[in-house]
Amino acid sequence: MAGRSTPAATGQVREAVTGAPGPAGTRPARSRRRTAPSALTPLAALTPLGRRRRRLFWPFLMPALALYAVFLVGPSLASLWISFHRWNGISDPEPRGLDNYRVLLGDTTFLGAFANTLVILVGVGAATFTLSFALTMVLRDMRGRRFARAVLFFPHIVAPVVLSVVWGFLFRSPEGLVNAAWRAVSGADGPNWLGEHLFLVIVVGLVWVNTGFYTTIIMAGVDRIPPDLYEDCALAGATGWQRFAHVTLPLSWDVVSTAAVLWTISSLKIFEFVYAFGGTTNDMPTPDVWNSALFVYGVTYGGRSPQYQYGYASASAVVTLATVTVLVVLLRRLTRRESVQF
Amino acid sequence: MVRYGRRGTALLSVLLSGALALSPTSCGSDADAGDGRSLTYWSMWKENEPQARVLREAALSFEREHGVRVVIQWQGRDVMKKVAPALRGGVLPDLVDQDQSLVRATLVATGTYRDLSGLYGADVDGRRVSDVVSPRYGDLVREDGKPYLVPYEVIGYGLWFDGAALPEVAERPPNTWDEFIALLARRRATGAAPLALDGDISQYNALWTIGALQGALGRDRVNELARDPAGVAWRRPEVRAVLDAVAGLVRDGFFAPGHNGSRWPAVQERWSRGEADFLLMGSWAPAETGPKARPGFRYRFAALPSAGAQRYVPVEAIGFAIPRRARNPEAAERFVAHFLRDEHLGRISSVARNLTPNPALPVPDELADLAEATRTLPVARVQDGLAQDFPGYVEEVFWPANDQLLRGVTDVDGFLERLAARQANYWKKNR
Repeated sequence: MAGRSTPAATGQVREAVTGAPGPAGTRPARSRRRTAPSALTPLAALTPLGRRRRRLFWPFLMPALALYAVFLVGPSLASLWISFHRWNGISDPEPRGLDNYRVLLGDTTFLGAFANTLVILVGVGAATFTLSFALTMVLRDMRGRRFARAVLFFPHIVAPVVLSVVWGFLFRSPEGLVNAAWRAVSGADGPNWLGEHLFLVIVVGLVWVNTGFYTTIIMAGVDRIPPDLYEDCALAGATGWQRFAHVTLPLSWDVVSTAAVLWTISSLKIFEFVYAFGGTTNDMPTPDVWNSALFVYGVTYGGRSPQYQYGYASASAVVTLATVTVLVVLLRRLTRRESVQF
Repeated sequence: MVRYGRRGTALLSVLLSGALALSPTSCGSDADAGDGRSLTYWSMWKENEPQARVLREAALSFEREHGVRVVIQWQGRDVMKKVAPALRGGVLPDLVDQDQSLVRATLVATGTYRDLSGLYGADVDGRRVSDVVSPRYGDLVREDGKPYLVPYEVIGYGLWFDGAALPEVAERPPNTWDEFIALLARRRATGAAPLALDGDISQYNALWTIGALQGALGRDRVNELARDPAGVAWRRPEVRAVLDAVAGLVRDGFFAPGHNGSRWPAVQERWSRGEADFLLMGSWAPAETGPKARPGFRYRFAALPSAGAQRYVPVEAIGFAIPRRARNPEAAERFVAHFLRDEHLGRISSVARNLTPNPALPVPDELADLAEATRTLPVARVQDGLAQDFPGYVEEVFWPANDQLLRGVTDVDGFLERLAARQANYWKKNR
């Protein structure tokens, strides 16, 4: 628990920082999966408590299972079924076999949107996590860090639509604030942000919106690290980077890997910021900045005269979902470490 | 604002199927007839808009006269997005209104509209509906000869300018593209920024390109170019010449600063303060820019000069439509005919300050030139009907390429290349 470290963990730090073995050559303690007493094991079923537990298993499980089935499994399966059809939502669905998928993989609009999704997932994700860690390291020892943390978190609370309006004021050219500052500093006109670099500005905006949130999560993990480990580092003469690489990162790894999965999933659902910032009162943003979520909206309800292509949209959703599943599984494998107990 | 994401679509589908399975009575209820004592009307207006006031008062008058209550729900501009799910199985309104593109995309494209031929023959104070609604608008809202919309408001597009600042233009507006360019050059020489354009709104960019093409090639020709599956029809020399003329507007710096990187409504506000001369826009321009306009601004209108032989006034009708499965279609038709009486329709002009499809009615002062232009010049569909006929085409194909042309990011070759690639992609998945 926080504030108390085991000799093993301290030893590991010293070993890592100085290269010298820890006291008595102890190995770092590993977390061990505890086997929870299952209500279904024959042994448990023998006891009166076990029998009662067993009787209650389904009544407790059913409501959640039913909700999950109705609101998640059902719709997902329905999407899969619809994705094999041409359907405008009104007439009867018309079977199309794999045609939707064939067309989809040659559709430059979809491929562009998918590429943007990946740029957001990887690029924005990497930038957000790097920034979050940097801020965490800075904020760890800072006075008034609660306040700083609140300020950082603020963009995450404000409605994306409001942010997009503010960002519009910042980045419009030639009269926006950013370009006014640019002119004041360099004397030359700044770039045409909204006209020519819209996606870049969206990417930067997303990093800004999300950094506060992930800083908060990562800080919560880092706060649990016992301060004496850092004192130990100071005594061992560790640099800031060594401190980060050998203490902060390994000891907050489980939090970071969870946050990474959280980001992977939520990055695919990003919609409002792109929609509101890239688009105008009546129109969607240009397809150049669409991500998969906007693509689905664009081929169903979006636009001045909606396309209502539910089959096609479902196919794109299925492809995205499949990709995400693969990515999350990969990510879980990549980030799997024995968690360090301290 | 409710937006539907990936999950939303899936969820919606299941809810739809659920609704379908659970309510056999509502499904296929063509035979269900309403009692004719009331009708439901989903409107595209919000309650505080002047059009809503006019419609509400007409509904009360209709109830007094016919004893039929009109239950109005002010759905706002997304009304057709709410109608769409109900078309498959759900409670539908008896009457809806929207612009012709959206009605076409939702009701006509799915074959769920009511043929309003009968209504066009109905009586309005001794005249027929087809006499009240000018055929120049009535003809634009037909599918296979069958009308799907009865217009009650008309939006016209063209150049707006301040008659007080440019009296000589008000006196004799430019007719040809060359006259127009000469005028712009003269204005620029005096230090004025001739053209105002909020280029973040792709439709405003498209009004320039498609407007110029309509004038040079004729009505419905751009529509034909868009139908080419390979997207190469645009490379014809006569098309190219017009595109080059449009690109020339950017090259020659006729657009006021901000056209390619600012945010609506920055540029149109500067225009209304007298910092630019011409604004190419629909007939909402006076109402939208009026509150910020400089004192003494006199709204004048001129059709976009033509790069060819003919000038057109692009128009778009807003009107009533009736879903085929409506329960009280006769009552809805009676209400529409009632609304077209001069005392109600006239208020679209006098209260809501818009143009009506009845040329005999008075028009608001600020739209007098537009009304005159629609009488003397042929009308065409705005964006040559691209948005109406090919859902998603303007958003996925034309706008992205055209935005770059109007921003000066690409030249005509770049535009043609991008357009062809996107158009080929569009037709690959839509046929």
